[in-house]
Amino acid sequence: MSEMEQNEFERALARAMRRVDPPETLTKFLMRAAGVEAESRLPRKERKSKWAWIVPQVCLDERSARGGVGGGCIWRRAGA
Amino acid sequence: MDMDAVEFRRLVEMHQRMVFSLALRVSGDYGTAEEVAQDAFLELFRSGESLHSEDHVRFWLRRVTVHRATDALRRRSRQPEAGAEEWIEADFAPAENDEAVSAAVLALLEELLRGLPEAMRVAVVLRYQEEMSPDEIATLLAQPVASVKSNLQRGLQLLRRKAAVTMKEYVR
Repeated sequence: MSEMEQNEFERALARAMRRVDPPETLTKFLMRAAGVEAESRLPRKERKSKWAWIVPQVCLDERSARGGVGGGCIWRRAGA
Repeated sequence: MDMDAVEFRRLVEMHQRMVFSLALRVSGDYGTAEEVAQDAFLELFRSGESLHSEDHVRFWLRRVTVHRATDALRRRSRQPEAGAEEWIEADFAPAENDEAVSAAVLALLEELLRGLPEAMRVAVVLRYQEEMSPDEIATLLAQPVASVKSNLQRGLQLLRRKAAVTMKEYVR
């Protein structure tokens, strides 16, 4: 291959390797993920979505009946 | 101080084409490239406070992207890497006009690039997509300049040789 052909080949290679656009969802995903990440660094009281702890009804019934919660009842996180 | 959302969005918009293209050409897979780009930017968000300049951010993103894309490539292809002589033959039908020829040639070059061994492919992508010098590539990859030059030279030779065979109908 002559030098001219080599240069032509390298130019074609550079053209073939132009940057391409990422999927449109990339920025949207990243901003959302960064928001979640940033919020997790805040003190718990300042977070928008706070964890709420709930107790199954059976445990509440047990507490009112016996004045306490038995070992079989566990506190559950909301949504868990 | 943590990076804020406005600054993060600015950096994403500024560098996403570079990061995604680099990940795509090194990994050779669209889905993997998207994951690599996501991981690289989220790592940037976490490390933002330690990056002091635009050049530093670009250097950092390139390095993280290349490392993550090569890791993904290795995980995906636990089977032996395609060697220099084991090329994937592209099915290449002659095109009808100059524009079609040009598009077909570019597509074939991308295909041939995917057949290059990893170290050569990374060097060629950084050289021709990112227009980096061998010295800059060596710094980014923490490799001796001689290794980078050798990978570039061998990668180009392989690409040219294969292209000459596959594209003889198009190369005048």
